[in-house]
Amino acid sequence: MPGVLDVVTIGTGVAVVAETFGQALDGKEALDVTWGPGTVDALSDDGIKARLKAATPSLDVLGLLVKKVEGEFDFAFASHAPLETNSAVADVRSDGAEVWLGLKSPIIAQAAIAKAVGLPVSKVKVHVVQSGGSFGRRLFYDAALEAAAVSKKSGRPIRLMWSRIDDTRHGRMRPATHHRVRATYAAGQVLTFQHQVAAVETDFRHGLGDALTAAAASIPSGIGNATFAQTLFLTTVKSPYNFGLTTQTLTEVPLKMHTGSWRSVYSANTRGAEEIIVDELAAKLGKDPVAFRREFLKTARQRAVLAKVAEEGDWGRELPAGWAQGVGFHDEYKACTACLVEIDATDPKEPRVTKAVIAADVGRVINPRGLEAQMLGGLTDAISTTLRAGLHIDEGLPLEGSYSQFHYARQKDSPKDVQIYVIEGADEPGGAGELGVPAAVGAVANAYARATGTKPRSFPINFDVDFTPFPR
Amino acid sequence: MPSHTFTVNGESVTVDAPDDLPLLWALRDLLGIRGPKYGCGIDVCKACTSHLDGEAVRPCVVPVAEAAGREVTTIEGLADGDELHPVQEAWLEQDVAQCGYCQPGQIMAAVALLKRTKNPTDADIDEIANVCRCGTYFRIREAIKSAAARMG
Ligand code: FES
Ligand code: FES
Repeated sequence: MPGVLDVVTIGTGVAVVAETFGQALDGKEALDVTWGPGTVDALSDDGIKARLKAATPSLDVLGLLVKKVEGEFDFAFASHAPLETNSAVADVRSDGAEVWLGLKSPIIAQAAIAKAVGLPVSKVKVHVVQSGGSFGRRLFYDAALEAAAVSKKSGRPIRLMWSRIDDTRHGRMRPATHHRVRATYAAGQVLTFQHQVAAVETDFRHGLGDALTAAAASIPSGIGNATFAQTLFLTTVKSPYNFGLTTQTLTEVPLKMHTGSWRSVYSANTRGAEEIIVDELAAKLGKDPVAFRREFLKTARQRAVLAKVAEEGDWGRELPAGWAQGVGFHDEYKACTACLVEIDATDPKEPRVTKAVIAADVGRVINPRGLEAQMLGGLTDAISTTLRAGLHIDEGLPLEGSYSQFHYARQKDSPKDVQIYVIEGADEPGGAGELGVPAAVGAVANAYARATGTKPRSFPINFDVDFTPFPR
Repeated sequence: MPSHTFTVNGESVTVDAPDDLPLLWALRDLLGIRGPKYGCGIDVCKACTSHLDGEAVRPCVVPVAEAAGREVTTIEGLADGDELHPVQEAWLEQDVAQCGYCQPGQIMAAVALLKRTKNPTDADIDEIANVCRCGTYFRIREAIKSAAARMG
């Protein structure tokens, strides 16, 4: 074929080497490959959901007279969908190797590349370059391993890039989760709050950027990874409310799928579901969602961000039928945030978040515009994954293959009015990169619920297969 | 191998390539013009948005043969020497870019929109379908409005 220079089989696939990517992509289309089996070929969404549901521990047995609010939630897989597909440059020679790519864990990547190409670590030079936003995807350095393997076999420098369809179907994704949440109450007080989460295992084998944690997470039989997951869940997921006896647990279902941490890891789904229950609890107790949160939040700092969005967002203002406001709150990374949105759900199938008001206190602020940008990104992620963006798994693979199918928000899905207020604290700087997602998930879901009079339980809310999948 | 002559950012270029090679790859891989980005290859993500005779196109679906004799403008050709285009100025003012990967396409789409209508409404801006995976949409909206004001 014109422009095609080489075809190379490596451990993870077949690489077509060409003068231009266009010709390499054509070459890829023309390949006739007999693939071995995948790891979950027999599994589709229904089966995965059933496995998750079965793995979710039951809630405590209650007396008949105990008053309660409860909900069972499902969140679909979500693609990291970096706009820049998986890519790396590698030049592997007999006496040394050099690679260039966006990376979050270059030290272990270097060791892994050295091992893969049979060179001492000192002979492998890794250049970390700026890359497209990947939201967790580039914790993995598989592109470097592939580029290096192809370069070694083909005997030339390689600029490797995945096609969009491969990136969507064979990349990484946020694991699907199932949730059982329940609060009990009496005499205006919340007595207990229980949340059982089951998730398809998140792959943490990249470690925390150093060789030690990567080795620990990679201990065979999954024990290492599972311990890692528990530690992460228990240190990051907390309830900001005085809800009496509070328990939150994670049960992982070890399916061999390409998962990975996705902006805010467990918190988007876990805290998102809790914020929905908080609204339902407020309604049961006959309280306004903002007033209820104000009453039960633990600290003045938390109440301040909530008060800020309620005031600036004119909480409770009149809106036309089919429209509503919704609010969400989140505390993590030594920071806290509240989000208030307005949604137009006149057509429940085509809802649009029209306005968002966000307040964040992340302690000392270094770069206010950068902080606001992170909150804006978190909001867009929440709008996308709450309303429309997810992956359907069919016989082991996502049906989605591009942005025409994985419905990440566009301009037409984004609010025309966004106000972000930074409340500067005196404490040491907290985290902001992931902070915005969970509160916004709660706000969008709660606004949708109030606008439509429904109780959203399955996310994304509008998740039909509204496309013809590309051939497998 | 057929050869194709066209103008890119004011300079005449000739590339040898099959007629049906998408213009995107002629630009990126044969001419080394890397502003237009690949994100899908099927006119969905709009990351490659550039101009052909002043109109926004997606070079990932324009065969290179179709560019023959015409004028291609990429993000690299938008500024006038050291003088940035007002849309680029507005982008800096609003600090729009996060990772930046989508932004050449976003800017080229915005420039084309402002060419069609001097004062775009929110509904006009909504029609820009370029994906921004970092979610910068609101700042893009603000920057387009600011650019419209600058360009009067
Ligand atoms: S690469 Fe051209 S539209 Fe996506
Ligand atoms: S700024 Fe990262 S994709 Fe738009």
